[in-house]
Amino acid sequence: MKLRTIGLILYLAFLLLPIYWMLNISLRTNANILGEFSLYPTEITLANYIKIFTDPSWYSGYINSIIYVSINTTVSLLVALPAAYAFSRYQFLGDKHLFFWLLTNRMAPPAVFLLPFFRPRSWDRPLYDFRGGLKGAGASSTEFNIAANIERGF
Amino acid sequence: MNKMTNQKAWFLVLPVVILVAFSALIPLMTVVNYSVQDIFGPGQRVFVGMEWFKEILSDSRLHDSLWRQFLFSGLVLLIEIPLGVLIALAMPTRGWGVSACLVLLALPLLIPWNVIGTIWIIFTRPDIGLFGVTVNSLGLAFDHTARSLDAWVTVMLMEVWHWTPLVVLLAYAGLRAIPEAYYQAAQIDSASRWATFRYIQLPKMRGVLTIAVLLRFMDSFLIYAEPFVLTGGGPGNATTFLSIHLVKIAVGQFDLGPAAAFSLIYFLIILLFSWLFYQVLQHAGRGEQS
Repeated sequence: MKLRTIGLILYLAFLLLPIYWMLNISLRTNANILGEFSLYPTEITLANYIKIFTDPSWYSGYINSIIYVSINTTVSLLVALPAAYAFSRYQFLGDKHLFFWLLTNRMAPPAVFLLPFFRPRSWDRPLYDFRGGLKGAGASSTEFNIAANIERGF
Repeated sequence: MNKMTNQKAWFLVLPVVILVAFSALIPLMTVVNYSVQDIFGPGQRVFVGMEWFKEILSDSRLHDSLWRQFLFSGLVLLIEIPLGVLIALAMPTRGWGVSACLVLLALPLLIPWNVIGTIWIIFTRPDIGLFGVTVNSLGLAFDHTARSLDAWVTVMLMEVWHWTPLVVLLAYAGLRAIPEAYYQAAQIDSASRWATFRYIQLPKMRGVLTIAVLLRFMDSFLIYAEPFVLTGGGPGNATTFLSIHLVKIAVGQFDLGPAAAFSLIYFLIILLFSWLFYQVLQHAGRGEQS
């Protein structure tokens, strides 16, 4: 009983240490980080946080993410919900094959689908012009599969 | 649950089919197109048939990264599944400890994958990282940017840190679903701790553990972002897994033909495993109902 508790505490410490270390580093200046090794921040500074929230090159990333996530969630819910309903309630021609095909998209390495989008600009027209939308579609197929899995009650 | 046969259900599925056709089917066919052509530039292409496939299949770097990938996925399963089950068994069953453990376990799963790589760079760097400095001060030389064994250890540690909580959560859910009566029966028979685990807990966890094994295998087989950020596939090619290798030849060298052939072979391997995954899940589901 005792051994179990000690093991569990050690494991949770292992989980928290890297996160703690990131927090520790984030509260120190560059010179301080490289200058001395210390288990806790000796001179706490919030300069790093001020920088990421005031410098556009940092915070525009967050804004892009938020826009992307909103579009993605909307699109994937719109197409995934009716499909998940159909898969869980009805039997129809080719339902198992279709479901498996959608599942393979969840499993497929994103790198496999990357090639058509990474060719030299000068060559010829890219496959699609609406690149952002396409990525959303890619991710929404992922979302869809998750939703469908839940509905089917695996 | 008995399902009604209704062909009109196709209309409900149609939107997602069209969307996925654009996002997956057309790019995939483009990859097929590339894989049988030699492309020099705009409008200059020659049909070369199976040439790229022959070249890729006899490429020793691909063989290396394939074996490396299997070794990695195998080690992931060997470490994460037993560790996950052990932790799930050690977790408290009631009281405030349950929610505390669950929250802590969920933390690594919520962090974006490339941030995981960054966290582990900071954590293991030999000059400023807690792990790197500690190991070095114990007298063991450790530098994941220079020595391939160290890079492997670091990537494995990161992977175990990142994904074992998922196995724990699944195993814990499986354990909590066992009715109290089973334990009472075991107590009446004065079964040992091991016998209780072997004949009650393990069989009852079969379903969730199957899902855990398959999910962990598939995801570790596709691993890209974390080792890419942490080691960039290096030192040398020591931690170049399949996805990293593919991106190296596709984007780094613009070898469209070979990269496309590689993509298709990779996709077929994944397709095979997905099919096995699907079959096993279907059987696991059926086994539990009957």
